[in-house]
Amino acid sequence: MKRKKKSVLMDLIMLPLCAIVAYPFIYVLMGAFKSRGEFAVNPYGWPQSATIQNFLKAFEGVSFIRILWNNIFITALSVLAVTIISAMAAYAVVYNNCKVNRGIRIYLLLGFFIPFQATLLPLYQLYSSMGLMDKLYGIILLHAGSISLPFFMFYGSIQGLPREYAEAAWMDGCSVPGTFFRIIFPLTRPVMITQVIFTFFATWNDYLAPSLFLTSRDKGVLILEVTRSVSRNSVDWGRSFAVVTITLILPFIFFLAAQKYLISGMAAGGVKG
Amino acid sequence: MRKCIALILCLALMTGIAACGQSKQDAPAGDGAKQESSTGNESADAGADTDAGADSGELSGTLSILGWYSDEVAQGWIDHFNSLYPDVKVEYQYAQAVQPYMEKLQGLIMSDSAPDLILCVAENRVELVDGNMLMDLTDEHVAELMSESCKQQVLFRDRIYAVTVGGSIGGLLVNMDLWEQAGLGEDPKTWGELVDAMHALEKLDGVTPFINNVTDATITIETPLYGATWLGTDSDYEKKIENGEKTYADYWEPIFEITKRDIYDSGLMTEELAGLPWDTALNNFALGQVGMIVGASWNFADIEAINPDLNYKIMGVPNVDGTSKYYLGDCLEPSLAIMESSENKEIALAFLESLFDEESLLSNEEQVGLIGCVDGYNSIFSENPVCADALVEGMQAGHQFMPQTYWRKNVERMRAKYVENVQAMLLTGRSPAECAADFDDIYNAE
Amino acid sequence: MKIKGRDKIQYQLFLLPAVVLFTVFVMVPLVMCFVYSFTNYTVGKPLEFVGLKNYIAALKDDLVVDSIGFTLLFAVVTTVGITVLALILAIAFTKNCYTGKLQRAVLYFPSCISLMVAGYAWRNLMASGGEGLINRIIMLFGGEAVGWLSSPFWAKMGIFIVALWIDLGWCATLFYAYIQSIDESLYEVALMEGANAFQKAWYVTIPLIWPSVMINLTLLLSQGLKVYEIPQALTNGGPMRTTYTMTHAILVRGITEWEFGIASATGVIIFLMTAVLCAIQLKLGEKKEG
Repeated sequence: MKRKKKSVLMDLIMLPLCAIVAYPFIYVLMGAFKSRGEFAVNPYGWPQSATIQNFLKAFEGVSFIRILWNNIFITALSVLAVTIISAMAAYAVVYNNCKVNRGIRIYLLLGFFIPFQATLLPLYQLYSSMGLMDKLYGIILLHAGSISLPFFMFYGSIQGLPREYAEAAWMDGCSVPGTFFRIIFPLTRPVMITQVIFTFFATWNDYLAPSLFLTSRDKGVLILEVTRSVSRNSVDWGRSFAVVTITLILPFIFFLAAQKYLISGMAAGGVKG
Repeated sequence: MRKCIALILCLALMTGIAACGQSKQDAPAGDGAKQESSTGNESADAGADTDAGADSGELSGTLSILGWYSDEVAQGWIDHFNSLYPDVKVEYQYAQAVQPYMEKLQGLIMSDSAPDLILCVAENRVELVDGNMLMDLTDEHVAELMSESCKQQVLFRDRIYAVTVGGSIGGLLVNMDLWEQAGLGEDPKTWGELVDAMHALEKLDGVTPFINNVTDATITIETPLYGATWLGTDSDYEKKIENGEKTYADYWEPIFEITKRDIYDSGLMTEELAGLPWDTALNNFALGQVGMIVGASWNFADIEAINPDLNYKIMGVPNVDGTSKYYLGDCLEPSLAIMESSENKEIALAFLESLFDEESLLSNEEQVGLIGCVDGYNSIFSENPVCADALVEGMQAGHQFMPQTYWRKNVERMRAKYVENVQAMLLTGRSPAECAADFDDIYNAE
Repeated sequence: MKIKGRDKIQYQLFLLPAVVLFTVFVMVPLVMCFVYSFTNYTVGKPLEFVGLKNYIAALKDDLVVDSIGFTLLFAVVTTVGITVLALILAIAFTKNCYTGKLQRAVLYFPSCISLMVAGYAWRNLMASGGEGLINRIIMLFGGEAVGWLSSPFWAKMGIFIVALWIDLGWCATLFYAYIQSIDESLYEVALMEGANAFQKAWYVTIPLIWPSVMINLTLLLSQGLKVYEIPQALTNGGPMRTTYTMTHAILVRGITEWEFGIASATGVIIFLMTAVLCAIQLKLGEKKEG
C-alpha cells in the first residue's frame, strides 16, 4: 500500500479547531493553579502567580491516596466485570440461538431505555436491604449490571465473526468455555477495546451512584470531592478545578496508551458490514 | 470455578429479591446494614479510639449526621462535642445543597437507613413533619436554649422540630467607595431613594449600578421589599391567606409591579446581567465594578478571599413610604432535627445542646459566616462594619425575611415558580399580575 | 452444526451472570418504579393504588410537558448534528497530515471529562456581555454579544454546543477506525470511475460503515433522551424553565417535591418514549441499509 502524500492544508484547518476544543481543558488546568483573587481578575489567561494551595485545600482532612485508590479499584473491577460478563452473554446468545436466548437478547437491550434517575428510589431500597450501602463493591455490582451497551457491541462483533473459527475449535475437541476464552474472546479485540474505553470513562466519571450509595468520605471517589467546593451560596472554582485536574490525569494516560490500540485494533480486526 | 461464581450470584439474586420484598415491613433489615457499615468504618479507622466507654454516666456510641455544611464546619462542631463526650463517635456525611442533599436524604429515609440527625429546612419540612418522621423537640431542654427570634422562625405549626443557633443576614451589598463617589450619603429611607441611588451609581463610569440575583433561590431584591411592605406593617399576613381573606396575588402583585417598573423596565437590571453566572456577578462586585448586588453574610468569605480591601456594607431595603426596612436571611441554621427512628436520641440531644456553646458558635462564624444568635453570646460580627447595622436592625429585631420560611405548602414548587417568574418579568415581560397569580395556583393545587 | 444438550447448559451458564446482575440492578428497580407509578407512594402515608392518576398528573404538568419538548429537540438535534459532523470529521482524519495523532487525541478527550464538570466550565465561558470568553471573541470579530444563559434560544444552542464538544470527538474516532478497515482498492475503483471527494464519501465510505453509524445513532438517541447533567450544570433548567429535561423533571418532582408517584410515572413515560423512538430509528436504518 503506498503512502499518501502529507498535506499541510489539513493541519492548518484542524489545528485551530483542536485549539478551540482543547481550550476548556486548559481553562480548567490553569484555574487549578489560580488563587481566588486571581481567578476573579484573570479567569481565562495564564496564571500570573501559580499556587498549589488549591490542591492542598482540596485534600485537607482526607487521604488523597485512599480516594484515588477507591476510584481505581471501582473502575478497574467494573471494567473487568463488564467486559467479561457482557462478552460471555453475547457469545451464548449468538452460538445458542434458541427462542429463549433471542428473548434474553431483547431483554438485555431494554437497559438502553431506562432513565437511571427514575430508578433511584427503588435502588436505594434494594441497596439498603442487601447491605450494599457504603460498600465499594456495591458500586461495582451496579456497573456490572449496566451491560446493555457492551452486550450490544459484543453481540455485533461476535455475530460478525465467521462461524468456521468456532466450528474448527469444536472439531479439535475444544469445550464451550474453551472456545470462548481461547478463540472468540480474543477475536473481539477491536470492539473490546472500544468497549473498555467507554466503560472506563463512564465508571471513572460516574458521580450519581457514588454520591448516593457511598456515605463516608474516605470511601468516596474523586469526583465527589469536586462537589465539596460547590456549596449552597459560593463556588471555589480553584479548588474544584484542582480536583478535576487530578481526575483527568489518569484518564489522559489511559487514553494515550489505548488510542493506538483503538485505531489499529479496529483496522486489524476488520469490520464486517 | 465458573459454576461456583454462578451459584454465588444466584444466591445473591434470591436473597436480594427476598430481602427487598421484606424491606417495607421489616425495619431491622435496614438497620442491620447500617450497623454493618459503621463497624466497617471503625475497623478502617485503625488508630481511632473507639473503645466502648465503660463509664456509667458518660454517653457512648455512634452518632450519624447528614448535612450540607462543609467538612470544616462540621469538624468544628464534632471537635467541640468530642471534647465533652470523648466516647461518642460522630459520623458526618456530606451531601451537596440542596437537591443532591434531598436525593440522598430521601433515599436513606425510604430505605429505613436514615441518620440520627438531619437538616430540616423549608424544602423538606412539610413532608418530614407530615410523615411524623421528626422528634418533637418543643418540650426538650434544648428548645429553651434558643433565642426568641430563632424560636419564632423555627416554629412550625406551633411545634419545634429543629434546632437553630443563628443564621445569615443579608440584603443589598453596597460598595461604599462607589456610593460616596456617586455623591450619596445616608442609607436610603424609602424605596424611591434607593432607586435614585441606583441611578446615581449608573452615572459612574464603567460601573454596573445593580445586579439582582435572578439565577437561583429567592435571594432577589423582591424578597426584602416584600418583607418591608407587608411584614413590617401586617405581621399576620400569612394567616389571612390561610383563612382565605387574602390571596398571594394581593400581596405579590404590587411588589412585582414596583420592581418591574423601577428595576427591569427602567433598564437598571438588564437581560445581559441576567446572563451572568452568579459567581461571576459576585466576583465583579468584589473587584469594585458593581455598585450593589443582592447578597448576604454567606458571601463574606468569598469577598474576603477575592478582594480583602473592598469597602462595603449590607443595607436593608425600605418600603415605598419609608415606614419599614427589611433584610434578607433567616435564623435557621443549622436547623438540625432528630429523626424519630433514631436509636441514639440521647446522644443526639447532647450534640444539639453542644451547638450552643461558644466553641461551636465561633467555629460557625469563622468558617462560613454563619452568625450566632444565642442569648448571652456576643457575635464576632457585631464589631464588623459590614453588617453591624444589619445585625441590629435586621437579625436582632427579627426584620429579616425568606419566603420559604413562611410558605406552608408546596414550598419547593413555590420557590421554583418564584425564580422562574422573576426571570420571566425581566426576559419576556410577563405581567406582574400573571406572575403573582401563579403563587395562588400552586398553593391551592393539591 | 447441532448443539449438544450438555453444551446448551454450558451456554446458559455463560448467560447467567449477565442476566442475574442485569435483573437485580436494572430490571428490579425498573419494575418497582413501574409499580410505584400506579401508587400514591410517599413518606408517612399508606401505600394505595391510584390507577392512572399519576400519568394524568404528569402529562398535565407544565414542567413535564415542557421538558419532554426540550428533550426531544435535544435528542434529535444532537443525534443528527453530531453524527453528520463526526462523519465529516472522520473523513477529514483520513487525509494524511503531520499532526493527525495529536488531532485525534485532542478531539477525543472531551468525552473523558465528567459531564457535570464540563457544564460548569462552559458556564463560565458562556457568561453574558463582555464577561464570557466566547462573547469576548465574538465581539473581537465585530459580532454582537450573545445571551448564552439568558436567552431561551441561545441557552439551548449553548447546551447543544457543549453536547457537541463532548461527543464529536469519540464519534469521529469511532468512524475513523471503521473507515481504516475499508479496503483501499474500493477507493481506487471509485477514483477510476471519476468520483469526486463527496461522491467517494457518499457511495463508498458511508455505505460501508453504515452499521457503525446505526450503532452510533441508537447510542446518541438513547443517551440524548436521558440527558441531564449538561443542562443542569450549564443553565439549571433556565432561563425560566426552557431547558428542563425529562430526567431533570423526574428529579425535581420526585426528589425535591417528594412526589414519587408522579416521578415514577414520568420515568416510565421516558422509558416508553425512548424505546419507541429507538425502535423507529432502527427500522428506518434497516431500510437504508437494505
